[in-house]
Amino acid sequence: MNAFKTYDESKAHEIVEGIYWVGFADRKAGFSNNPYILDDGEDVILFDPGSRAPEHFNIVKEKVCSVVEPERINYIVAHHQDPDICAAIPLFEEIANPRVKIITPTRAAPFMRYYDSISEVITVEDGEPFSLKSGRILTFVHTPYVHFAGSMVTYDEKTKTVFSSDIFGGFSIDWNLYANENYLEAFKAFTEPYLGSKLALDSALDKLETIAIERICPQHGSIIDKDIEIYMQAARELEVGTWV
Amino acid sequence: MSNQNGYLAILTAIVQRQFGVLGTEKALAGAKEAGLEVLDNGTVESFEGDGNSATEKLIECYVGYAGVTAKIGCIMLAKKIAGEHDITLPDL
Repeated sequence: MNAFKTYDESKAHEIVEGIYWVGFADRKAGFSNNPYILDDGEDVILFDPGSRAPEHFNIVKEKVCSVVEPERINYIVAHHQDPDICAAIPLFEEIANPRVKIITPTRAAPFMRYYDSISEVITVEDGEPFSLKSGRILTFVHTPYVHFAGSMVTYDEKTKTVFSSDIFGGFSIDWNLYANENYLEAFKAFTEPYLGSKLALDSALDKLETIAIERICPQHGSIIDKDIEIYMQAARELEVGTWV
Repeated sequence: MSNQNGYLAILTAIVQRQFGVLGTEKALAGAKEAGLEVLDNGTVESFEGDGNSATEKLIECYVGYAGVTAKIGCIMLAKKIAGEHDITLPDL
């Protein structure tokens, strides 16, 4: 058993060196909420901070503060504009570095101010590499219409981790942090009703298949750290956009 | 009875999908509650009454466990497999 895989869901959990799950399982709704922290020393990135409802935000805040001093957070990545991704941004702005910047796709950027966010927004293009102060490279891969027009994922070359936002998310009341033998069905249960375009999904998969991936960290559902090619193939075979 | 196999395929797919949503134990319990004879791997071997009623009953049972989001997923899956077997489902 990989030591990183032993976890207590009431606490932040280190997935791989310097990357932490700081989310919670909303078993009532069946949608776990999975923000992540990447601590790279001089740069600390919070991915998809999530809900602002106190019963959700307070859990995430406590977990974030247990692994980094919040004032060290100098980037927040919002992979798209949905409230389950972005609603907590203003709350984190209150405790993050005063110069924290939001990184988001161009087509999601206009919506940030609707959350009353005050931070500078950096828009990134498809495939744009982003160098951290250590030299570590994050690459932002646009995945338009999967499921919002301005959607993207982030690839961390150092750990071969994809922060995939809603792609490879799952709908599961029987939630585990790491994908188990039933997660393929949970993934289908989430993806089929929530994605609108097969063409868009295939385009996203075309891009992801060019990347060496060791783990996929979605914003909902479970972390996939094995059988990634099986999930890729299953995604290829999904029928999406049929619920019209 | 020509569509018996089609309905079994629909019911099996729904049960197996719920393995991911509810977990194996609850998914099987729900199937049995809906009057299905089901194997541990989720394969449905028989159902009570006609296929449409059995499908409705199973979906309603899972909605009770997992809520309306589960219902949408179940209906999409049921319609997809129904189409493969020339089965016309009622409004679910």
